[in-house]
Amino acid sequence: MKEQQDKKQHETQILQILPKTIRKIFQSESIQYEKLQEIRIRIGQPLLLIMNNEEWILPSGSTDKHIVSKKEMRETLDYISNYSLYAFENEMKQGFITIEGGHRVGLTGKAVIENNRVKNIQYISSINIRIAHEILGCADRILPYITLNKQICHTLIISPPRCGKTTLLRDLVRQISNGNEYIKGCTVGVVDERSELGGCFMGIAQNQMGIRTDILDCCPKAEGMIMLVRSMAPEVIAVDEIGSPDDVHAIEYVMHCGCKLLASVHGSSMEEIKKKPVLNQLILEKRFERYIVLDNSIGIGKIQNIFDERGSQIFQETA
Amino acid sequence: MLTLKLIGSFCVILSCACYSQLLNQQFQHQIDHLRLLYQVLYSIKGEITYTHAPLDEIFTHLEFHYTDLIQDWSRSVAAQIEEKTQHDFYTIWEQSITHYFAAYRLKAVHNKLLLEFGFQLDKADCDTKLGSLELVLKRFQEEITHEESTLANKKRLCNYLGIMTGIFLVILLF
Repeated sequence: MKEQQDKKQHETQILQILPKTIRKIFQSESIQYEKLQEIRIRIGQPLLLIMNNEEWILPSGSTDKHIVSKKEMRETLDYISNYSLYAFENEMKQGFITIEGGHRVGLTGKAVIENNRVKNIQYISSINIRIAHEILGCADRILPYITLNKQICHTLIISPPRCGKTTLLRDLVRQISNGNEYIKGCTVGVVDERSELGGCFMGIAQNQMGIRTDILDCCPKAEGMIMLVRSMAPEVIAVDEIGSPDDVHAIEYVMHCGCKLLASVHGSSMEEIKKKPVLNQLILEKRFERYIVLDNSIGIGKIQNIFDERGSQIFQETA
Repeated sequence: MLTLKLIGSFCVILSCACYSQLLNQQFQHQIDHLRLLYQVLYSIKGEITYTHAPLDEIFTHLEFHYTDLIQDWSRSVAAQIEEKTQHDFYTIWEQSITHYFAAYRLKAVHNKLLLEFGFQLDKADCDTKLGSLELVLKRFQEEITHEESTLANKKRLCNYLGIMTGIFLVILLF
């Protein structure tokens, strides 16, 4: 019953932000909203969606495809922002807005530049609505490998893009925060620079992040980690996509303060990460106790290997 | 008979004077309504300037700060924004103004200013929006000042006309 309600809510959230003409097209199609990944709206171009890794041009059964008009684009923007685009100026600088349900709307158009920095985007011509999907329980398999005496180890998730590292990190945060047979529930601080982990809308996480989780939304990672340590006394800090020297300094600070760290980084193997000058230092100093390497060659979100701090393999996926 | 005529004349004059007082009160209420609306519009502009909150948040906030008609109006606007049934915000604003503030019996010029405020709220760019809202508020303030300055004269004229009408009716009746 609850699952059906969630599905209905998910569908309403998506349909609500589409212009009325496009809503009608969606309603006439057999769309599986739980498998919907992206909706691409471009002025003067046909309406595209990606569902179950397959591209659809709508209406799918007709040769006369729907071409998106300027009016529809304006209507979409009005609905996405609740008729308040001005309130999302800061988010638009980054090129996306997170909406209710944690869905992310990417925008392109003409960039307004001030002092050599993007101030805003005007004449928006393309929108990419990326549908948020939570996969609860996707971290079940790895928890036994990254916990010791019911405590989490400093863990780094290494993954190429679109392999599910954010989804995995999110589920880890949820499980650590709630607690289970492998780990005692503890306070988790999340620095969510791009609103990907919590999918915060108006500061409230739209994804399930656990009962002991505090989220610092849209805050630079390095600054956010230090702020959390000082203000929220977290036992675990989670950050997505680390990589800058500032991040590394903040990670060292967090570890020295006695917090456990969960982080993710772009990469395809341990060897590749060791070649990155900034991260190599952390690996040489054995700061992280576990490394999880993801791979999408055997399916999205599949774990290829788990290594310990010495680089010894403690888990390998068997085909 | 003469006594009856005198009592009747007194009643006619008194009722005309009372009617003129009623009109005076209406003038006063009109100014009070304008002041209240100015306060509401100023709050909206203030929220945009200082909190950058989206419109639905602003109207929900207003709902808790006002009572009666303004509360109903802001609740209705916030709900319509959430529902996303209109193409643009101006349509929501226009419909709600026409529906809720008809009871205020505003002059055409004041109604036009209210609608103008909603039209400026619909603009996407924050700087332009705030500048335009400031101009509309300034014109609104000028209208209130104008109404206030003419209120005493209107009241006086209304009183004279009320009594004179009463006397005129008495003369006709005699």
